[in-house]
Amino acid sequence: MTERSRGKALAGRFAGDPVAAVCHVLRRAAAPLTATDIKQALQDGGVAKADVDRVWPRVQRKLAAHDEVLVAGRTYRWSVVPKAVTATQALELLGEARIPAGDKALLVDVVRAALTHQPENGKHAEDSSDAEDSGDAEDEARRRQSAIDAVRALAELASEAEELAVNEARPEALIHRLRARVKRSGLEPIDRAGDETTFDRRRHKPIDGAIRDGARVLVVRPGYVWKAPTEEVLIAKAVVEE
Amino acid sequence: MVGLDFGTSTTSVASPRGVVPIGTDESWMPSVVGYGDVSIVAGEEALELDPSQLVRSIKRAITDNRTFVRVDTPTGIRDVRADDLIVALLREAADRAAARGQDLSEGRAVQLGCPAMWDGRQRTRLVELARRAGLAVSLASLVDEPVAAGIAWLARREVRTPQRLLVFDMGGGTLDIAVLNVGKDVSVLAALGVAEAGDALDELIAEDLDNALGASGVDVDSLSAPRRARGRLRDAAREAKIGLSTMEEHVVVLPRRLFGISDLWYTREQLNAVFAPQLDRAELYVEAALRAAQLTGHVPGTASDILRTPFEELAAAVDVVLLSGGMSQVPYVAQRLRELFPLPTAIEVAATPPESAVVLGLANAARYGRINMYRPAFDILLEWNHGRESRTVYHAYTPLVETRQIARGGDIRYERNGTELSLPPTGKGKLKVVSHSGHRVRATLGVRSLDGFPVALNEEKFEFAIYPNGRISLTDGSGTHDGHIADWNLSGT
Repeated sequence: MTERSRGKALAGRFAGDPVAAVCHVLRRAAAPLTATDIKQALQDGGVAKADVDRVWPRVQRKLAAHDEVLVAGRTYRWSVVPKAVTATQALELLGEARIPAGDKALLVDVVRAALTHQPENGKHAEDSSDAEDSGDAEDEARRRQSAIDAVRALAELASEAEELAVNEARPEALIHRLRARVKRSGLEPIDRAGDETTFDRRRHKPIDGAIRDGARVLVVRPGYVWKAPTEEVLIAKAVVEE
Repeated sequence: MVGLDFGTSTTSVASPRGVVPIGTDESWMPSVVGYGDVSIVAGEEALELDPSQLVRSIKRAITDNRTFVRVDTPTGIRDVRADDLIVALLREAADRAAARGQDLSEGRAVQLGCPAMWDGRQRTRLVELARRAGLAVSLASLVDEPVAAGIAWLARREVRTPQRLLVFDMGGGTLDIAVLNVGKDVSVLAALGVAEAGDALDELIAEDLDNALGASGVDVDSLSAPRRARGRLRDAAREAKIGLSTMEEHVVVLPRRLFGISDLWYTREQLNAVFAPQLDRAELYVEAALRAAQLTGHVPGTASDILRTPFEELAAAVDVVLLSGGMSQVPYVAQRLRELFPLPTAIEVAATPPESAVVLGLANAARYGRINMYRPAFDILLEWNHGRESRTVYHAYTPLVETRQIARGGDIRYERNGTELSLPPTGKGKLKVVSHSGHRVRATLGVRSLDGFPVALNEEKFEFAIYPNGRISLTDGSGTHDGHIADWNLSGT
């Protein structure tokens, strides 16, 4: 095929299916190509610059999702290796003669990863993709944040209680402030210290021994229910005495 | 997909799975940057510097079009480039996100928020700075902040029929209001932002507490340490605002030795009363945004028609009012909006917590097409002399409707004439459309495309107008040509 007829073929291919034309360019390239390289190759192949620029955003999205195109940084590379290749598949592919050098390195990495990271709890090596790694780091950051937020609420409560005590806040003011503080975390009190009430074993816990339902009791310290978005959790029953 | 919200006071990152914590102890990083002894430091570390060495709210340098900010550097107090500080802050956020599994420098769809009010120059400035910081972004990565808040809401539900949303985003520094149509795409019909600082409420509460003390016979000025007492009151005001978000009343506990009394009860009603004037003004902005939205899209009309439309009619067209920003946690905000809108209009928070709405929306923004009908995302140039000379007839992101135009009455449109553009008296030129999003703009004048339309240059006669309903009109040396923008420029996919 002459240069000219090859150009015509690429332009024709581009007119019919721009993504296929770009894949063709990538398949023939010896090294990864940038967007500028691809556009230049298309123009060299007889496609008008305006046409390339017009369809490029759409082509770019298709390439990112293409099974046989690897996007690394700003470069695109044709790869016969499926994106979610397992260690076993990688080993089989390595045995094939036609695998390009770039892909071989990739396959070796997959096999090496499988050998160095023993699967845990029946997890397969193919699960350890980049997405999984980023998910781990992200999840770990969220777990840490939840723990910090919980401890922060506790620290703020302790700090407020100390301030109120030093300012000699009246009991009524002190209780109001502490209850308001924990309400922001979704905590609702059960009873009030010092109040008299009727024993209910679902909400009350005897300070000592056993109390029959319906008996008159004195609240020693209040309990708390956590009103979470999807459920109510009894955190602590109110402690009472007869 | 990753969202980065570079906010005035905090910077956050989110993935479609939720907020990715990047702070040392909070999920966000403070948007504070300054000069340490050796280099620029950003985030929590900057907060430890002497106040003269740091800059808070560096984002305002873009909003206010400031090139320099004054900081105490290792070589003395000098004006430094705000851009360098912004780059350092964005780089710090990107590094932290990468350490938590979200690489913002790779070819991923990074979406970056910006105020709806920013013009093309401000948007380009942020994108260039983000690129300098190593972020893989372009102008098409920018999402208007209220649009992001709308997307955060949209991402959690299936919308079967198109809905009209009003986003009410009240943060510490600004109040942003946007009117959106959402369905498969999100269209911005109107957006406005005003410097109605929610922070001002703290000061007002502190004054109110001062007055309440006066009513109890305590004159702060006559106390032994009035400055210290006022400091305590400002702190108590912040506490009261938070306390009253969940309780009907709050008790301010005061050191008896300083104030002579031990506590002061402050109610939600008292807070509402001091907040009311600010929300009265906010209601006027809501009305202005709804009137501007009426002009956008395909409802024909002049400003006089729009002015005559009763507010109730405009409010009834809104399906959901979305609350976003930290200040929307003050219950009075929802209460006032509830009173302003008819019952079928739902009042909902955009996301929980509301201050995360923007970043959560950014992380999901790539799923929706976005159309800015209020500030189209393309330039229109007039070129002549083989492209060697040109004028910008329309700058991308310039609002087509100015609030003051509505108040003035008459035709509402964006327009430029030959004198303003200093066009030559005669000659031939052509229009050129430059999209900022990579998507083609389909627009016509007469039977031809707007892009490439031949113009008979004439300084006196030349007039170009874009109407908010998409109509365009050009008068040149050869006559008047009418046309239309077929589909508003998509700023995302």
